[in-house]
Amino acid sequence: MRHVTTKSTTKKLMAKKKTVKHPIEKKSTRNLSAGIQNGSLSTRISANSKSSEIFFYLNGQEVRPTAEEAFMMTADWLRKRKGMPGTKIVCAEGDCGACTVLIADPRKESLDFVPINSCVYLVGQLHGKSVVTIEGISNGSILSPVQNAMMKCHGSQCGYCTPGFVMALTGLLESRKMDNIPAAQKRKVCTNYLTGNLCRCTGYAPILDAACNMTDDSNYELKHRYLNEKIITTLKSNIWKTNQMGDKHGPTWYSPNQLEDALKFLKNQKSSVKILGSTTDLGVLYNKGKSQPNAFLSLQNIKALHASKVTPKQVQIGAQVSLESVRGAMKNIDSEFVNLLNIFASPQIKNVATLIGNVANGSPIGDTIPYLLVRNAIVYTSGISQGKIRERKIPLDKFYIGYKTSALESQELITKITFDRPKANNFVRHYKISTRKDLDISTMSMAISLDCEFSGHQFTIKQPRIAIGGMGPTAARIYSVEQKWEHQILTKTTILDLTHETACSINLELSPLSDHRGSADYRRALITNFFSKFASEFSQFLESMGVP
Amino acid sequence: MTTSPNTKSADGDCSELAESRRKEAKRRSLRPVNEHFSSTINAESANSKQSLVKNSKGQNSRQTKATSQPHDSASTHVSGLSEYVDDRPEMQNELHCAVIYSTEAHARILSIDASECNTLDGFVDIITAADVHHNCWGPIFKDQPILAKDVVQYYGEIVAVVAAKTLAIAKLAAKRVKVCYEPLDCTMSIQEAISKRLFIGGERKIQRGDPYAKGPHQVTGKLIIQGADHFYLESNAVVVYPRENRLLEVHSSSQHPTETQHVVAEACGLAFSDVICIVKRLGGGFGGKESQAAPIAAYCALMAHKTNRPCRLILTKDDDMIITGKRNPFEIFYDCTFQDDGAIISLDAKLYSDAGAYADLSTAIMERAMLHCDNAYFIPNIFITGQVCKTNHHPHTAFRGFGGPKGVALIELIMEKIAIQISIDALNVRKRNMYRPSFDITHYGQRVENNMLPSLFESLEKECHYKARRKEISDWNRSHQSTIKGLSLTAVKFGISFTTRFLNQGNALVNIHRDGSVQVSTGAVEMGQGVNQRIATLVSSELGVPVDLVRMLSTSTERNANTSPTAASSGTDINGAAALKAIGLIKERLAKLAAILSKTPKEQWPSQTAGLGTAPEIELASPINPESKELKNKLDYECLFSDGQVIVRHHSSINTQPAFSIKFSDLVNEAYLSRISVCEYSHFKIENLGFNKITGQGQAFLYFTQGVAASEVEICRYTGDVKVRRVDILMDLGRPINEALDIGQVTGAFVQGMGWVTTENLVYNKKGLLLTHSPSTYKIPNIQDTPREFNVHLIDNDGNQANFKGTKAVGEPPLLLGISVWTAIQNALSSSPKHLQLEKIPATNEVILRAMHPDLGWTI
Repeated sequence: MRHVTTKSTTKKLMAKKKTVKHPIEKKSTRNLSAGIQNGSLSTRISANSKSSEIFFYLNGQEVRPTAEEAFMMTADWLRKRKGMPGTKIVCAEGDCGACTVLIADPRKESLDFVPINSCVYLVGQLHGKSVVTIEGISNGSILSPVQNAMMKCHGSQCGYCTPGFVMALTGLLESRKMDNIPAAQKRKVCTNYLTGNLCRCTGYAPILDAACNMTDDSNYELKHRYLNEKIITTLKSNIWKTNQMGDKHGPTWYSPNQLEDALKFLKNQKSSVKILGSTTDLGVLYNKGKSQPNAFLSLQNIKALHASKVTPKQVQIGAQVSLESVRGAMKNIDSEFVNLLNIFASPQIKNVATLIGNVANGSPIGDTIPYLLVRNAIVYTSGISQGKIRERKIPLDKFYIGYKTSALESQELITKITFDRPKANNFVRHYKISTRKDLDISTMSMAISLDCEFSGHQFTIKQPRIAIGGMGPTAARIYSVEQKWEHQILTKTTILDLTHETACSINLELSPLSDHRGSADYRRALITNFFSKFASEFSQFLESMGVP
Repeated sequence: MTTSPNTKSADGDCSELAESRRKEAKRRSLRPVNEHFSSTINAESANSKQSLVKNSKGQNSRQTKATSQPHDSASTHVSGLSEYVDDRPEMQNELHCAVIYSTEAHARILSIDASECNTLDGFVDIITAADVHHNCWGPIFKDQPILAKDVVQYYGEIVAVVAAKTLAIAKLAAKRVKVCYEPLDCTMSIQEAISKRLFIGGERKIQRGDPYAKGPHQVTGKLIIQGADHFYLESNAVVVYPRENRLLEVHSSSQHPTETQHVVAEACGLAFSDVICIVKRLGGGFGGKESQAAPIAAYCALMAHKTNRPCRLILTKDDDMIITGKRNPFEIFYDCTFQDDGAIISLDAKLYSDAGAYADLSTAIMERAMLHCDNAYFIPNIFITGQVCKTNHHPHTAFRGFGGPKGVALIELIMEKIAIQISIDALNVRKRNMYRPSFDITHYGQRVENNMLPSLFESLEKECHYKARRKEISDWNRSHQSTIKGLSLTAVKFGISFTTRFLNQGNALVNIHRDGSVQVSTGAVEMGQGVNQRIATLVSSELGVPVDLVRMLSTSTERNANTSPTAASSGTDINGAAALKAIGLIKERLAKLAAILSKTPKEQWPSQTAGLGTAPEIELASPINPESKELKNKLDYECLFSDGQVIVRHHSSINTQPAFSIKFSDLVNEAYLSRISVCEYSHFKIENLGFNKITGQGQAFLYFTQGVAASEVEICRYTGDVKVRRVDILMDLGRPINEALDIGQVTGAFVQGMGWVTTENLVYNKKGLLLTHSPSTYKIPNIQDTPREFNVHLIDNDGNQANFKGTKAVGEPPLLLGISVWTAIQNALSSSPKHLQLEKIPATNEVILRAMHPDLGWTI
């Protein structure tokens, strides 16, 4: 047994610690509307905008939770307040899937039921959505095709993970027709869809059997039952509206529909505010007593933040765009990014967690960060200054200033991120190693991007970009190496020398930590090997281009 | 097992009652509609990809009718309607408990200050060691306090318990309790314990043959085996209701309700009869809730007893993982000699295990490890010692396999090393050494009866195309830069029985109700393995009634006392046998009654006359003695329980009169009206066990469950990342009661074993705090980690005379086949010119990379 002393508790998250004081903070507070300084929250907020209460559908029934309920995690609320203990809680951190429920959000482009982890999802976040739990799956006394398949194929043993698997598989049936999946691919599709669910009894084989033997049956489609026209209309009339909850005794919930209101709220809250992208990380800290914020600022009702755009040269992703949407948008555009997102987190997490959340979290390992760094990502932030919205553009490589600290000011929000689309002559690789391949935080990751100029039978490196996560306090570009690589002429032999030399110099430059994911030595060895791997893959590429 | 006089039985499902029950069930609750289902799923094809039952003698050779029934809770599992402890609705004035545990590995408790809790609105009470009546427990040695008094001996040891009106307040109160410690010298590893001579129990020995016999070749080394967390999905949970007159009703997630009952009673100063422990089901146990559920139940019970209010204690996954013990870590020093052809001459192995701070089950676990060092192989000269070490870790405990996996990992590693040393295929080394005729006495002196190993090896080698794949893999490893592959075929021979004789007993209560429906309760705890379904199948088949009519009740010390833990793969064996014995007695009475009724005019039947007293009461003449062969021979009729009917044929009139037939439920009613009992309680014990723990010799086990597995892995040379490409398993499970459930045990146990030897990494800090205490850091296999191709087959074996109906236990043995993934990794590494090896479990990416690249400047 190895004994280590450090522990990193990093994950996808949206919240930002108040670490950086802004010099104009005090001055500008006074410039804002006078009514905000004192008085109860409701008067403060209603002074700014029209608001409505939190409202959603649970298994087809309208629900208007109380203020206290809005701050509960959905799984706790279902089990303890709604008398629906079918949804199980195991890890309370979104890593096991026992708490999986389905949500449909009319804010999204496609109105499908998708699985999420209800243990890290606040009831307040359900506003304007339709939620289905295990109790809503069977049709009266008749089991659904998923339930039947799970039963007949012996997909449940102790039964504790079973509701979560049933919900995830129901999500799969909602999203695509099984009949349309070629038999050869069924296993893979189902496996990928179940990455977020752990089972300790079956060894998964019977569950996979069940998944592959599910049948489409339109009678059981949740869309017909829990997304009828009336429900959709009602939900659509409720989204994009400000809502707020809470009194002076409890925490405050605020979900405005204007960016400006969000920024004003941030500016005027004296106590700790947590910004909610999706609570996939904040929820973990909240459940484990590591964060008890006084106020939650949810961004989900701000329409502008849901936008993403792909231009010929760039990709732009808004603060509320989920990783799953990013993955969809990147198909046919950046396959290496898609590969990265495939093994990043689980479907349940990706359906709600945002790319910006990952960026804002600033984890030293950073999952997507090394890749975004080599794609020249730029972070767009907004704050209020002199009563006006002030926008800043911060290149991602200047964004992180220390362990989990960034250039983001305490009263700013990240609104979007842009990054380059790969050029035609771009060669890129992303390497990630973790204890388990899927749904695991990386021990270390590295991205290398080169533009290759081909002239007179030789390749010249242009704009090399190398970024590494898990080797220091922040994920970072390695400029010294990039400089060395720029304009290098590459052959199959020179790439080997170059990468070897690079690995050695990086290992001298960086001093990684030992922790429960791996020792410092292991991380150093990986650097060396990642470069060897890159050299090998690049050589193959050169060979395919006919370079000697 | 008992047999009734000339009674036969068969399955059936045409009873009217069953039909009406099904209709009722359909109306009331969630039941599958088979008509609907059959059109949508073909269960045969569903299973055929993953798990085929090989039946060389043809499908009809076995009673297959009920052998693939789903788990009895399957429909409520898939509907979220199955009730676990924490699903119980909250009672009025119920209290929520939270625990305060040690944050030191070893320290004196200077003070416990709860004064800050009193200011907390909703805080109710705190209990410490002073509140415990008898503050000492332990499943073998009574060496562990329930609540730490004066001294804590591990990080996570419970010091105090608080209760409050809500869980949030209870958690807050727990944080406000200030415990001051004075740290003491602590021991955090086996090596340290050995050097300080901190041991639990004496050194154990098992030996045979000539200690000086040596072969011309030798392999030696030290194998380090880490622990593993059970990672049952349902963390430990308890709800206790104080009933009238001091009675405590404990609902616990325990694999051992009887021990939980006893520990709770002693802690509270109550008689055992003042405590009822009820277990409906567990969300997984795997051994982790065998002993350690008891003190957790006691925390909650103590609070309920003190406050006289219902109390609930649900551990979070993080706390559960920090507090409870794991699979024991082992360090094994070995020295094995062998001949030119790989035949082992001698094995000398010194086993050390880390018990943690208290004995728990560690000495018994060590014993099973020592008994399994031979695994499937005959070793003529063997000298094994075992010593349990005391450290300041959480007390380690039972985990599926119970020490067996450690012994087996050792000998399977030795097989790989011998193969490398003499440059032959490891499979040949295994076949050279396997138990076979004339070489079938274990090192503890028990003969391996009904030995299927030679045919298992031979069949699997052929069916998994071992030789062809071996060649493909060699070619691959020569020609590929980025990955290397390995293939290994290992075996398991797992002894079935508790090695402690007195645990091999069970009891069952069978109540048949007047409508012909049946309730069965036994000491077996349902934790996913399907013990209830198996027992229900046995009972329904004996009574000739549909399995729907047999309801398995929760495990309760009210109905079944002095039970053994549901452990050692024995649940169905001992409890099913007890149920069969009870059924046999009931059937005998019913058969006699039916014979009498067949000769009695219907108008004189009790149902027509009993209320009026117009006919004399039917008496069953002779005393009941199921063992009496004389009685059986004297009987002039035979009786068949089938299809919901009881059919009597009199030998004298077999050709002249049609058989008499009565509906099972009618017969039960006639029995009641005749004042004949249709209920029975039976006790069962396994005969002929006799293992002497002092000499290390004897009949340790009733029989052996055997199997083989071939695993192929592919390892990334750059990262050490492992993919399990293909696994083929062939097992001997005798004549399974339910093949589908058995196969589920095989796939589940295999993957659990695979996790233990690959990704599951327990990392502690210097104080013994487990850093990997949740699934974000502790990585059990994910669906993506399962073998790309996974074939599971069972052989046909009707020859197990030792157990009832020729069945074999299945729970633990397949876990040990997971070791084939680890030896496949060894095999892949050995393909390099340097014959790289790793002698550590788990083989994490880092461990593998270190073994593959010793040149990369490792400093630690």
